[in-house]
Amino acid sequence: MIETIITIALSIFLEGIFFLILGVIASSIIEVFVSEEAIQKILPKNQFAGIFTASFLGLIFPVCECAIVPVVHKLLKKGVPLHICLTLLFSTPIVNVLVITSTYFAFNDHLYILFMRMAGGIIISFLIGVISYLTIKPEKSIFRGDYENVSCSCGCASHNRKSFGSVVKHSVDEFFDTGKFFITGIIITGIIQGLVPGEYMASAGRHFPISNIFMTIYPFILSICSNTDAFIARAFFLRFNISAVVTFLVFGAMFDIKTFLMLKKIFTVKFILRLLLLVFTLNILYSAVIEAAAGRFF
Amino acid sequence: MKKQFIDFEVLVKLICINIMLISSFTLITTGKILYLISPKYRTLLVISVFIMIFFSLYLVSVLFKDEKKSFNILRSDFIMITVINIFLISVLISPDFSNVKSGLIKLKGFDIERHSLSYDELDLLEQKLLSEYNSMNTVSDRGVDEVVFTDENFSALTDDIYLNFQFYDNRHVKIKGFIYQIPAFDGKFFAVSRLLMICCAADAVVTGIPVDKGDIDHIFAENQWYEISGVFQSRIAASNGKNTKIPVIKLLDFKELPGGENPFVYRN
Repeated sequence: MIETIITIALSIFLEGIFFLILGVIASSIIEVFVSEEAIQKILPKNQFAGIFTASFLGLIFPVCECAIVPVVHKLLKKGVPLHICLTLLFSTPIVNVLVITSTYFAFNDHLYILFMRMAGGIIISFLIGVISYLTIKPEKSIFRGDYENVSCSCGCASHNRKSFGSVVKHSVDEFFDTGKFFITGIIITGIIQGLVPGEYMASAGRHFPISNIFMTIYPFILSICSNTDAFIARAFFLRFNISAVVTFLVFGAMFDIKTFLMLKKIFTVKFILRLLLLVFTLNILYSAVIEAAAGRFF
Repeated sequence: MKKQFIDFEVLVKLICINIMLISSFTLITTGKILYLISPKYRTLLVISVFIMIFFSLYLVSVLFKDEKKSFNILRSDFIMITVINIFLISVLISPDFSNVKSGLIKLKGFDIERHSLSYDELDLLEQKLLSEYNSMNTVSDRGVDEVVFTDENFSALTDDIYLNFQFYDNRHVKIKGFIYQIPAFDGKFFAVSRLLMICCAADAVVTGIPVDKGDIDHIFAENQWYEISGVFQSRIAASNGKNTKIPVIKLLDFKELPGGENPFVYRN
């Protein structure tokens, strides 16, 4: 049994380590060399055009869900509207080249999963932007009073020196910062896969919405980087329905414990919980659409 | 000479990354990596090893500090990294990975339903997908007198047999693999199987062809390796309450093998 758990955990680790490393390096390069002003220049002034553009901005700036939080914080301080920042916050961890690549590798024989993940990331983040534009007034009550210093995951407040050395330092620190969640996640996945017989998992994993709700709670707790979570989702592919797997990939990249803790440095807990409820609801609705479509075509 | 102090946080990270390096290097050079990940990931892992060497050199460069840094052993980061090191050390001393098939077999169901769909049940969409698949994977074994399964053709051949059985009916076949007692079909058949790996061992599934041993009086123990010879035939069997037509191998001859081989085959 231990043998099986180690085999499963280690196999996912070896499969995903390249994408973890690629993700931290890309994120570090952007953190060091790309300023918030550059991002601001790309965003259109028109609100809906800005939300739409923000839904795709991750294709140019491939950062994961923890690295985007300090970026969003700095954009907020520079006056970029809240709804555009929220769109950026939830789209960038999914709609980016590295996540597309890792998801392709994990699901190259079922590419519709990749398309559903990207579509979910774009649609849900766009809806979050529109809903927050129409309903949320960015009053002071949603911000923490002391959100002056939100540092990136390497713990440094800023990167005044744009140098290769800064990229290396940031990469190594972020490698361990995100890597520990990845390794914890694969160990838990290995234990679940190793202890729970396939038929039990399949009987629960193919019932909407139980399986889908489980696949929002599970990635929320695991807090795995979006560059590598596709390999963990792959391990559950045969046991869970398609909509549940897509829910794991979309919701898990948008919101987890790590994101929650980082957002606490900017927003009040009450506002974050409202945001979480919105993201959760939209994800379940999206998975319901997939479930209905999957029943017809798959 | 100015006194230098070891940064223990950096030291723990250095140990951690070097354990990862040694594990990866050992698995690649001994070939055991193929029990864990598909060959298509091997190159990516080698690139990762080189980058981790670079990270390791950076950590060595910042290992010593001019000032003594306080180090709280109860800090969560340290605990987490320690857990990681324990996991990685257990990997280094882990037994032979080729022996895990019994655990995986009991967990992964034989993918019966997909294979036992009758042609009448295929809707237009699936037939379109199948014809696309067939055009991409030309199987050269259709015309030969004896069909021989190898590691390289096992996956594509198994799929082709289920989807285009008319080309294989009544042909002789030779196949090698481990025995898997199929829970479906009222336990009438066992399968000579391999573990099909798409990306890594975590997503491996049992795949193979059901065998009808007929009147042959031999107990085929699960997980034991055999090479069997037989003839392809079709059977009507019950699965999940419905009768479906499935391809089977009518057993003619068998040879018990010592085992210890790589149970995995890979989807290209």
